Amino acid sequence: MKSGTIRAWHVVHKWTSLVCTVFLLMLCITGLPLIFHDEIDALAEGEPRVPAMATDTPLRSYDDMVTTAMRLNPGERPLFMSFYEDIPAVNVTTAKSAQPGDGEYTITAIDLRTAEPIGSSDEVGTVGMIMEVILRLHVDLFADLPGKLFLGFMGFLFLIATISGVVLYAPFMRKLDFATVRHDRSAQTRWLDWHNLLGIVTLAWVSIVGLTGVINTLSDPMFDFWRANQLAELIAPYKDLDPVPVEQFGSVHKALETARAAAPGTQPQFVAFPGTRFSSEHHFAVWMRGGTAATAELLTPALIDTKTGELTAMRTMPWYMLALRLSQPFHFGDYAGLPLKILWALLDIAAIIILWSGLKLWLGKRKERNSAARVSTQVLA
Amino acid sequence: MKAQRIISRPSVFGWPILIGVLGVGGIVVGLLGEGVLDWLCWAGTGIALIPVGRVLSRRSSGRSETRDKG
Repeated sequence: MKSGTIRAWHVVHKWTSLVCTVFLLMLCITGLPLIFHDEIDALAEGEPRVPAMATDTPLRSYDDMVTTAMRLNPGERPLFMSFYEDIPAVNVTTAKSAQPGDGEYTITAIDLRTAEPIGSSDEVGTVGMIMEVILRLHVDLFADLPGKLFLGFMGFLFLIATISGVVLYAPFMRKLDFATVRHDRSAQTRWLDWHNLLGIVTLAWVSIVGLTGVINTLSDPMFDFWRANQLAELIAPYKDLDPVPVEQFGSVHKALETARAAAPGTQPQFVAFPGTRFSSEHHFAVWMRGGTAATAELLTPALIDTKTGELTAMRTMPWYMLALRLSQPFHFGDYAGLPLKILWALLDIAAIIILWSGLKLWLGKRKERNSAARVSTQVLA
Repeated sequence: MKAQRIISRPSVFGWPILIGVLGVGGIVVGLLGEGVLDWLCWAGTGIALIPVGRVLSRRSSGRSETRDKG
């Protein structure tokens, strides 16, 4: 590689890193507790617990769950129903409007055998609130879509910094063995060696988490694009009809049975009620996920006419929605138990050290340059 | 003036490529199932930390790391 080319890559690496480092540090630091949010939530708030009952206790209708949620939250409307995998319970989300803002909704956990509540998002404690603040900082800096897009752009710069870092790794390491840290040299050299070592060994993880993070920041525009194109096509026959009022919503239980029958081998992930972002004004959208570990992340919405209970349409998600869906587990590292979460945390700490060492290297060079300039000024004077 | 050409050995990327491929493989394989696949996932993802652990253990045992080839 020509020295001029190396200098050019160095400029790219320096400036893309400098611009994004502070934000990436914030993302890595806030990301650390978020890796363990399930464990933290369970420790702080406790998982919803269902009372012990005979294993063959029959389950009540899903409509009863909606009735319970509406009784507990008068004046609100049902938005979503989601399902626990390990306990016979559902979460019903309700709010005053179909598309509420952050925090303007209630999630009620309800026992499927008794239709009695077993927990509510109103009961969130201090730890839950702290986690919520950390999550908002990590996701959008409390600035909704502009915040997400800004962080996405920072992530994009970070990816360029990563690529340029790999390009620069070769000339820097050409005289050194792999994984060399020169402890007997200056602090600046040691930081450089650690920066190079951690940067190159975590390259795969950093690239995957960075890229999927960028994709996640585009979730809102991608979802709106899907709604405007694919969903609009599916519900075209309904476009001139008035929205269905809440009182006329049909049976969600029947909608679930219809969706299950239409997609054997799949499980419902959640139901979006009419009017929400994940459905139309006239349908229950039952989002079915694959029944195997490999297909569990692939969602297929089944649109059920809320009045007739009949299946209107069912279509697999387009590639960009699949990419979005797959980018979530690859970003969170929550798909292979606690050991993977611990590894995710260690790699996250490595990323923090990479960012910090990069900053230290830049500050060190600046200091050196300034003192050299001072010396030459004194000599000339 | 003719630009100086710095030649880097392809071996510079030998270990990083191996670690990267195993890392990506580990991260992906964990999504495909449980049991043995989980173990492969942990091994592949964690392989990146082995060289770091090696350097730290060498440092704590007091051995010098400097082995310039040039």
